[in-house]
Amino acid sequence: MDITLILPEDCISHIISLTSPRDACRLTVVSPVFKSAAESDTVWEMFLPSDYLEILSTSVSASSLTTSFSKKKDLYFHLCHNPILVSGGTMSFALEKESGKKCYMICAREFAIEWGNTPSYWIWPSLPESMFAEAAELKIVWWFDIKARVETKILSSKTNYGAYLVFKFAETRYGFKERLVDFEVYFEGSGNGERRRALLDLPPNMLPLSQERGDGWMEIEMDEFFIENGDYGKVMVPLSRERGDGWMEIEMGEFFNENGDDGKVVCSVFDFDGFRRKGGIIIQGIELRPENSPC
Amino acid sequence: MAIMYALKSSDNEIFEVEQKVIEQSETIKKMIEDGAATGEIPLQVSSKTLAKVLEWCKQRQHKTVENENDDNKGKRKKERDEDDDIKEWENKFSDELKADKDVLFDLLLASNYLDLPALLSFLCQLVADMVAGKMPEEIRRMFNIENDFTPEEEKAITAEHGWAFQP
Repeated sequence: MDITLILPEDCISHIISLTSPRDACRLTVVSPVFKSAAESDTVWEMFLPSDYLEILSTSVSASSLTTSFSKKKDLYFHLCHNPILVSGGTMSFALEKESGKKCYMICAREFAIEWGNTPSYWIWPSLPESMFAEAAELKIVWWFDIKARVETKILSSKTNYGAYLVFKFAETRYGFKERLVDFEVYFEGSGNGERRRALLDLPPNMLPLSQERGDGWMEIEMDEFFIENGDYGKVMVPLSRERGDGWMEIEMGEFFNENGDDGKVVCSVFDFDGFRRKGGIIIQGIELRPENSPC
Repeated sequence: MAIMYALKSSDNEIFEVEQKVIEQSETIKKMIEDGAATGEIPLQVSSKTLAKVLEWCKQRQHKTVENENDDNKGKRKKERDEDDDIKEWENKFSDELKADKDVLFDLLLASNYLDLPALLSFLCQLVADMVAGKMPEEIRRMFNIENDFTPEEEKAITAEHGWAFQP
């Protein structure tokens, strides 16, 4: 018996809404009835975050978004590929395509930056490649200390999030090749979390270290680096990567957002050794997005 | 003494059922409340499917009655055991339906018609789990669906959703 001849289309839509965006897209190919059911607003309303209207309402482009995308499916994919500015331009919002979960980038202006308001240390240029009105550019500092605080209640629940520092370098930079910076991601008030160390600026002549496996072969980690570093000896550091939008990113850490009732999550970047200076990094923001989502 | 009702299937089989069990169906509950349910209640559901519907309703009814009779002492452990029992029962119920898709679809239709929201969402989830991760051709085979698209149309729709077909 052909399921599409006996089940009403809204019942098929209901079934499809219980799958995933990927499944729904595949199902459009099955037959015309499936296509119509899989493209219905019933389905994509379920894949959009339950509070998406509220989020969109804080965006300057809210009215144009809801009028230019009459179908929820089109709105869904638009939000996957085109982050929008929300909350008065302090954050960007997008959807993770595979799950429909919420991704945010917090503008650097919202961070607590030591010496951030002292123009001889930090300046706030407006860059065409930045989504936000201002980016944070470090002139010079000894005490490198940045903290972003984000309310977990705005994030998708039951989700493992990764926090990424989104940055690039100015023409002259110093202090990032020799010194590792410490990343920490933790819930405010819960004590500090796992600490990660990273080398933001990998010297061009530095090669990843391969290791003897003891079975006659060598192996090399592909997304993390073992490096020999004068101050620290042999350490494993995460690698930064090009985002394709003119910025680089590096993973600072991860956390599990259960129900959004853990208060604020703190993402911190820190380095201080007493006498060495740093300068020449430009920070757009910190992005929080679901981890371990197959892409 | 429990009030009993007689349900008549589309192939004229009579099922005697307790009011409490059958009132889970919003459709029948309304018929009873309106006084329209005198004598036999004729239903557009085959006897094979109706038997399945009642199997589901009795299991649900059993569960609610037991919970009402529980005192708090030792309830936690009992609830855990019951949850396991229910899970086991539901798994068996699902396996039978997966093996006989005609019954599964009839049951979907019946739960829609009889307005049994719990059964309807259980079945929709079951079918959703069956289609998740499958390719269109597998789904067509699974549900005997005629592909009405021309090869050109199919190619265009597939291209439009390219990412969903990549591993």
